[in-house]
Amino acid sequence: MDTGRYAKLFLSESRENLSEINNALLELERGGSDTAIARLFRAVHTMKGMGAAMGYTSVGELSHELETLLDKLRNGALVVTRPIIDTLFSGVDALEQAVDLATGAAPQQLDVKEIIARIRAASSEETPQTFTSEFAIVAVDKKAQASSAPSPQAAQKTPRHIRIDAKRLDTLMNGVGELVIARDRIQKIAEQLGDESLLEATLRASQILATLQNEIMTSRMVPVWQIFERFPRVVRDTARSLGKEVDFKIEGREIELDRSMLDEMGEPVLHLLRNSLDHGVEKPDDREKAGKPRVATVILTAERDRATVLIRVTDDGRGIDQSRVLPRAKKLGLVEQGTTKLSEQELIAIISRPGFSTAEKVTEISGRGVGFDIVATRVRALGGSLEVHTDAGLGTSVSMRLPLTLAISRALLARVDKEVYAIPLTHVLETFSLSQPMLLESKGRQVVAIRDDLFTAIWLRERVGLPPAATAASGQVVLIELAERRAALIVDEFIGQQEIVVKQFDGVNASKTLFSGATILGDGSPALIVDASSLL
Amino acid sequence: MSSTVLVCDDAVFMRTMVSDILSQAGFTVVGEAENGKQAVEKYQQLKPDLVTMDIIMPEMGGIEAVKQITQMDPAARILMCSAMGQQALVQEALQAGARDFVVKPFQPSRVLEAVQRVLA
Repeated sequence: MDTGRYAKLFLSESRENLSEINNALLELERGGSDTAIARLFRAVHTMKGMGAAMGYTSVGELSHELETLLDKLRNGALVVTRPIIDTLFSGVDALEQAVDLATGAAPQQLDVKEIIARIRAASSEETPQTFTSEFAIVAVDKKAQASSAPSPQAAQKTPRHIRIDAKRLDTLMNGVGELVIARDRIQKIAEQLGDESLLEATLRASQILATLQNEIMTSRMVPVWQIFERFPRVVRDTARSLGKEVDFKIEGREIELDRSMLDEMGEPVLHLLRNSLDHGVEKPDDREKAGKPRVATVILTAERDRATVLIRVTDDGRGIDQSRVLPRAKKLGLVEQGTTKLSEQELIAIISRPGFSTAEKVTEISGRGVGFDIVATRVRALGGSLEVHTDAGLGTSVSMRLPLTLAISRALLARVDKEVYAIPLTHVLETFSLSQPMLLESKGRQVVAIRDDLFTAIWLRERVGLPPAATAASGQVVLIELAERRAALIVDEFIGQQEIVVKQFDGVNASKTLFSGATILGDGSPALIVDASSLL
Repeated sequence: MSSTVLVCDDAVFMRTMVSDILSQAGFTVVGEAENGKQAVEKYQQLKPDLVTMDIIMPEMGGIEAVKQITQMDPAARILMCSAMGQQALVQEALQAGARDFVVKPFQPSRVLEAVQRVLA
């Protein structure tokens, strides 16, 4: 067949279909399901027919494999997962390449063996590990989006998005981190030399670096829907298995978080949702008896609040009944016997105690305790905090407050003996100079008296395995806080506050629990980052 | 007078190709439809001797269109154009009233053979 006369038509229609495929794929990634899959399937199917008709074997074969995978998604044999979406994106990229090569000045067929193997692996759910480290940065070109059928030329000149291996961004971020360290060092030298022009040049470099740092941080940000997308299905299935009726809503899906942070959020959010469905939401009949609508409402919200992001799960279920929690808390000695009402902070502290609820079956909170423990630990490790609001009979709302990024944070630098340690500011409440009258003994423990309160004394010196200082009452105190727990951390001396770049920590096992990472200081020397949660 | 044909496919490319094959063989392509819904409407208007019908299309697929067309006109002659690996759908279309099928990619001789069979 004389394919030459059809080539032009093939190309323009392929562009339309590829554009449709990309849009549908983005919709699928955003959590759109059935209609997106149907659109994808149709467009890929059309590509397959056209490619085969033109004798473009690469286009035909690739489309055929994609179609097989999509068919499995369409009939429910496979569930949409991150690796599958990644594979689809890669497959579509290859399809675009195959079209370009086949219709180019010197027509040739793209080698599709590798990508076909990947698609087949995804089809049979044997997804290779390497895919998980990939994610897409999607910068949708507004103009291309506005015109529903862009001309082939326009589509060729303005790629709507580029995909970058996540590792590249990590490397860039690391590089910027190193620059921050180098800048601090140069600044230190400039100050020592007292050279005005050098100081000025350093300042200028600092400004550029700040812009660069900001840009890279921003490009690492991904919208929360990337992890939220799988929840509607989970909520639906869980509610169904529990015999409950739930209207699940997601708000603020476009709110962005650093990828590394977002990767850590999936599990805690899932725990909160499961808790809500299992223990918060009542059965339809019970809801009716309580004068509520049969269908419960569960809302997952993401919200930006200055330099933090709030992720909240709200339900209109039965709430946490204080009259049930209080006796347990008293029995365990968690609150004073005379307490009649728990503050919300106390409630969090109690329900997030490991195994609190499993000690005795308290239906309203059983499991809630276990789940909360995991959530609380994770949020703490990320430098965030947990907030709970509950009204008996009306519902519960649990918020996780998280910093935007994990890579760079502000820390207090403190010296012990000859070593410098970094204490993340997120956990520092106050600092004091230690004096003899502040050191007391209570119930056989050494404590530090600050105003009217007593705090457990922790000598960092002792924790890092050094002999006690000659005079116990010398040094400075950092009051650290995590959730409701506080302690007085004693160091030799404060050095100052600084922006630190958190480095992957590869320490020996024994010290792993005490430090969460390491950083490089302005003078090039390393400093360990103290993990406040390990001290409390 | 040559036989009239309605070509239904969601891809312009495919419609053009089928139209060319049929025109060159002396058929008159009286209309094109880009989905099943349009095919049903145009069938009513044009009363063609033959319809070539794609299976997977937006709005309304080929099988549903076959059902609706044969309901209006049990004598309708419809030739299914399927891609490879759609045997089950082809079966369904034949049960719904389609007369025959061709498999993409099209070879003009095969298409014409099938058309002759359907019109015979």
